[in-house]
Amino acid sequence: MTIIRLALKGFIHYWKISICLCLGITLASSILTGSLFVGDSVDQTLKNSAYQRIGSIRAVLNGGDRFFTSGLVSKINQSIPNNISTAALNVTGTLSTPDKSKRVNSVNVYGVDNQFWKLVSSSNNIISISDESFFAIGSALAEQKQLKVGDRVIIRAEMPGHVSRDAPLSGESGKLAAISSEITHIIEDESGGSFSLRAEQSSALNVFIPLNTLQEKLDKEGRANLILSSTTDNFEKSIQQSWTHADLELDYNSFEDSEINVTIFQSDRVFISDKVESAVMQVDGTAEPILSYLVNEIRVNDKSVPYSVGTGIGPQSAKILGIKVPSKNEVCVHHWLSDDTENGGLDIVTGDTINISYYSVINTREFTTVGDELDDNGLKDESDKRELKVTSIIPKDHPGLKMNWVPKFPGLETAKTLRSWESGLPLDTKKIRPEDEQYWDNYRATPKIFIPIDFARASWGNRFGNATSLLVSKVNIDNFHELISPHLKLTDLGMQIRYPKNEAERSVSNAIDFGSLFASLSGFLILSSLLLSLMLCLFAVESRTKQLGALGAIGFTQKKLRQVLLFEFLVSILLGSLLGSAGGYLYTKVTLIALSGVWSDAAAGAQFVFEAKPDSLIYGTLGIFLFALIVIRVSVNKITSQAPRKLLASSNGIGPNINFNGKGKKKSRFIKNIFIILSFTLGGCCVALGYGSEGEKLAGTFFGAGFFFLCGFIQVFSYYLNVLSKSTDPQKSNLHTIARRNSARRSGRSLAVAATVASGVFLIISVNAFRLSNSANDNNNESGTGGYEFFAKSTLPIYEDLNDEKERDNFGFEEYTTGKINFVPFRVIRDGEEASCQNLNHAIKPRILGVEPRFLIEDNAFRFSAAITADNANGTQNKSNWSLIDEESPQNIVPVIGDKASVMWAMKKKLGDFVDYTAENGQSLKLKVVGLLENSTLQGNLIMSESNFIKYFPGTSGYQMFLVNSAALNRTEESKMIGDVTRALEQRGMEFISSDKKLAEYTRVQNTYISIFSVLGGLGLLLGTVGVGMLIARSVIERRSELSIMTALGFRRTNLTKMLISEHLLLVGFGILSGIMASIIAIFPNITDKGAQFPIDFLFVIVLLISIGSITFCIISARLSLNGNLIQGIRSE
Amino acid sequence: MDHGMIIQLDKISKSYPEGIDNHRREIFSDLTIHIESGQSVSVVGPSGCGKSTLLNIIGTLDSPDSGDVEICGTNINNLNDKELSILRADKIGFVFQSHHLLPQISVIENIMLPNLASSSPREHIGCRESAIQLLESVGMGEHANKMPSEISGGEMQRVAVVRSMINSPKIILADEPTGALDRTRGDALIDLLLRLCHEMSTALVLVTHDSKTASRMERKLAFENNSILEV
Repeated sequence: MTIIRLALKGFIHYWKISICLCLGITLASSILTGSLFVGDSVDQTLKNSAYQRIGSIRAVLNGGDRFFTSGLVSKINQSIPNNISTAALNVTGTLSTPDKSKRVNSVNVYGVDNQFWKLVSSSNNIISISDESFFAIGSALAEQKQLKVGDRVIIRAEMPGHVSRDAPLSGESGKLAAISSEITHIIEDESGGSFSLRAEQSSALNVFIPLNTLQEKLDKEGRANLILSSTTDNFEKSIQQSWTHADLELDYNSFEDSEINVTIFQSDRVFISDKVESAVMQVDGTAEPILSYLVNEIRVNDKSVPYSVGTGIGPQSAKILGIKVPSKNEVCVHHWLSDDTENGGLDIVTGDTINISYYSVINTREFTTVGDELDDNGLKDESDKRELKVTSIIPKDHPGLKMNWVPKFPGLETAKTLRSWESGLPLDTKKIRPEDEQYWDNYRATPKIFIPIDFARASWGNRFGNATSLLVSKVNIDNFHELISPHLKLTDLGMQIRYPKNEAERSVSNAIDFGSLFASLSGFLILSSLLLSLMLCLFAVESRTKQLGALGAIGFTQKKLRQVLLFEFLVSILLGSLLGSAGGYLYTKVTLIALSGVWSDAAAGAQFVFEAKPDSLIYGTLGIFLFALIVIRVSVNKITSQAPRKLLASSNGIGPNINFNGKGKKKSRFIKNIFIILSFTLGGCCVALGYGSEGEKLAGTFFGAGFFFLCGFIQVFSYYLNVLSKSTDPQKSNLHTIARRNSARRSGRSLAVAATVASGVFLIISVNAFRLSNSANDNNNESGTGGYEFFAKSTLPIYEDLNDEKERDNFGFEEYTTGKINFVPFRVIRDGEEASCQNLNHAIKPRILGVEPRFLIEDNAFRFSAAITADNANGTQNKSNWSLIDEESPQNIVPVIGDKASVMWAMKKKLGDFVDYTAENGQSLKLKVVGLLENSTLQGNLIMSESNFIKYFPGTSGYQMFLVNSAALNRTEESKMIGDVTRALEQRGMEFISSDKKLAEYTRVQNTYISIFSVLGGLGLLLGTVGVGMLIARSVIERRSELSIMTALGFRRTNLTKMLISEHLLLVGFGILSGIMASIIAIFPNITDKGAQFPIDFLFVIVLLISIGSITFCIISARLSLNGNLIQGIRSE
Repeated sequence: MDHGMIIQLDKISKSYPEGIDNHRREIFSDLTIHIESGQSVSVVGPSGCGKSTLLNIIGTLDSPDSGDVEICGTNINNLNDKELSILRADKIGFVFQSHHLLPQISVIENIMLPNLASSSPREHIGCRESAIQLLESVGMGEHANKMPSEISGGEMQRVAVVRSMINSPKIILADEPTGALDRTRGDALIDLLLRLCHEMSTALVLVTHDSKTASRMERKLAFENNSILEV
């Protein structure tokens, strides 16, 4: 006989207990292991999805709105051995069938070559498309729109401008390229059909066509904006060594005369980036910027010439023109202006004073006229005057005038007449005279006035650059890269070098931890199953106290007694933990099915694959094993530390002499009172601390308050039981009072019943109170919709002001809609990732929006849950909170506002934190979170002021997101209005969604999490109820002899059953009441103002279930105790 | 220590708290008892007089409020729980009113159980042989591999007696061992106890209500007014 053998014999003999314990542990282990497996599965799904979307691409040069030469890739391939690199052209477009029955507003259109498929394939199944006019679509797009090979579709994409459409003189906006073709291939995800650089789990909607076709259609021959490479090694270095002036979109020409030999660099993008200018200036100190711009009017007294080009020059240019460099307020003019008025001139002579006016850019293609001596309201404003004194007149035939002073303004080269030049500026062609056309015929856009470069830059410079040409003498085309590259990187110009694999790993590793989430959501269920099994274990030990006493008496030391019991339970725990791994598999499978079905809102559209990592298996199994072992050891210790004499003296295993609660029972009444006061005080403190707080602080204080209040209530109940136990007044003796006194007999057990029920009720009610309702106050400007009825997105940017009547007319808005519908436009960063609960990945590059804050201030839109204000460090609702994004901030720090849920959970930041970001020019930015919105339609974004957006992301033109108010009188009118606007903006891919629907997309996710918790917590409560029932059954069955004696004395069995029910309903009732009260006191002061509602229906169901469960257990136990042989029952005393 | 004295209780007193106000009720005071090796002693008295308490003190399951207790020459006042357990395992055998056999192990394993508690346990085979010999000596050899549930109440009690003897203790303490048995089976059990104690020179202290059983012991101690008298 050995301890282990003895334990094994015990395990077999008490097989019912062993199995119950084993099942309890299996359940707990299954849930924990399963929760971790769910995490593994989500993790693996995201990884698969990430690797599938990037294939074997490891490095990317993303030009964004800049287009480098597709030849750059050849040089990279040459400089990196064993590397596969390819150039691609990417734009966003719309796709529709000719009959418009199927339409997708946002598809990624890629122009690709055959190398592309080698890179994007995530499997060995690398496709090769030999067809030179292929038109392939990704399988996700095919599935979504049920498209198949042979279907004809049309894609429309915006013709990319050389220059940002926001820039002045950028030419006509909104030109679309249309490609109509039959679908020739459907590309599966593993072959690259879902290629995307965005960290989002849903498959991208892609269209692939030959690179040269797209280049041709977009008028970008020989250009690309993506280079994809299979290696990161030397990628950046190779690019840096390989680029040429053409990759910077620079062109050049030379000017040479007897005295001067210079090279003139000009940009396809009209304005030369400050970074390029700076790099050139560092190399060639004599280099000179030139800035040419359209002058609306050159006026002398009452005579004027419309639409001329003016140029800002420096000393070198002056030398070329053979004039003295004009100083401040001086101008040199083309001889044509000195012609008489009959010839179109202004009769200008040296010393005359001229006035000029020109357009200045306010915002997107929004201009104000400067120099017309009128203010913004059209009233006379003498200060708005640009007066210049003529110092030189340049002869018409001066060779210097032949130099290329003017860059390739869009449309300039092809315009046959001045009138037909689509400059992108609002020109009044009525002002153009035949003489002006004559000048155009003779001199094209040759400048008519030359002003100091400083004046020109101050007047015409903008965010796209402060020069249109660079005049250099030391740098030429042959040494350009060699001299400039040490001072300039492509990333300085807004191109991005990205490492998709690293980004994918970061986005996956920082993604929502579903393992922990499900373990937390299942926490109460895990705890319940553990407690249930441990309670069974404790009962088993209690029932063997005499046996333990006897063993103690014959010389078993406490250690040996412990060993016997622990080894015996160890077998059950070990088996249960191991079986839990199989149970975990089932749990995961069921959960994944639920996540694909009823809980799909929490999965954000992802289709999960099953994955179980050894780590999770070990943690889940070992975690529960160790936890159970520790708790059982503590329980066993309590019993085995009793003297054998006491154990032997116990009746039915648990005698009144045994104090399993140790010294606790001897606590004085004073200490108990102090404890009660302390509990309620601390609970109150937590409520006060949590008032107005958010997120983790609110959660912490809420659980803290709940815990303390529950402790307080349980102590009050303990106090009550203590009073009951001392009540000996025979006058009050009846079955009811006996029942109440019975509940005080084993106060520990009674308190356990009340505490279990109270905790369960508290948790479930409290969590459900956080369920969000999006039906209330939808039209309130403080609601999550901001008071805007619609949320709109456009695939192609809209450069025009949709609130402007003229622009509406141009778009063809129905007349009656103009003036009523109101748009708040947002700029949207290119390639930004959704940073909200709808993206399971961690957004590496959260989507940035730019908005003019005054719109939102005027509308007092959205509710702030917190904001950093000057006078109030943690302010909440404040009309001017939107102005925070417009406040000046230190260099590189940009104030932003985000939705609280997105900032806290998706970005893992809080108010006042910084989000690292990279500006378009490669500059590191710190986005400071200065305000948090309460559950809004703006989730997933960070919002900065439009001015900052333009400053840091100048290449992102136009608006692509809108908050819309229709101001319609009724639904019919509203629907008609939105229909008309959608049709008018169809070409731009405008799509409206009602704001409450948009908001519901987000709230559904949170509510789904709560539903998951409710289901799992409900199961936990059910198990808790079973535990309570077992406690009840145990108590009743232990008193079998007592009940039998009462029966023998003449009490009816029905009355005794009622007594038992009454006794235990007191405990359960107190538990329910405590749970409800703790919930109400702990959380509702903090969340009622946030739309929380008391879940009365849910509460009713819970109370009903617990009560029915408890009563059922009472009745069953009473029957078991009373229905047997009366004598036998009496003898069991 | 007196030669041959196996149990020496000198002026021991014991009281217990009682009632809600924890008032202490004196069980006995200044009790002095000396018992020699191999001697059989009965303890009689009315319910609640302290017979079982006395037995518990001798069996080191309880301690007196005052006075000295020496068991097999060891003063138990200075021993910790572990040392007391070892003393019980090696020197004392218990026979309770209830047999307290473990239902999960066989009769022979129950008998061998005290060997597991012993400070110097014998090898399994040797212990098993001793157990079988003892079992055969009480006429239950054929029941060795049966489970306790498969034998009668009287047989269970006999097994309990045999179990108390397995470690060749110096003292057997029996607390109303015949309480649950009829007269015939009770007498047989006392016969067995006396025989085994005689054979192994073991002192026997037996608590009983039955004067006939008490009179079969060499000495008879009776509780009266919180003290004890040699009858």
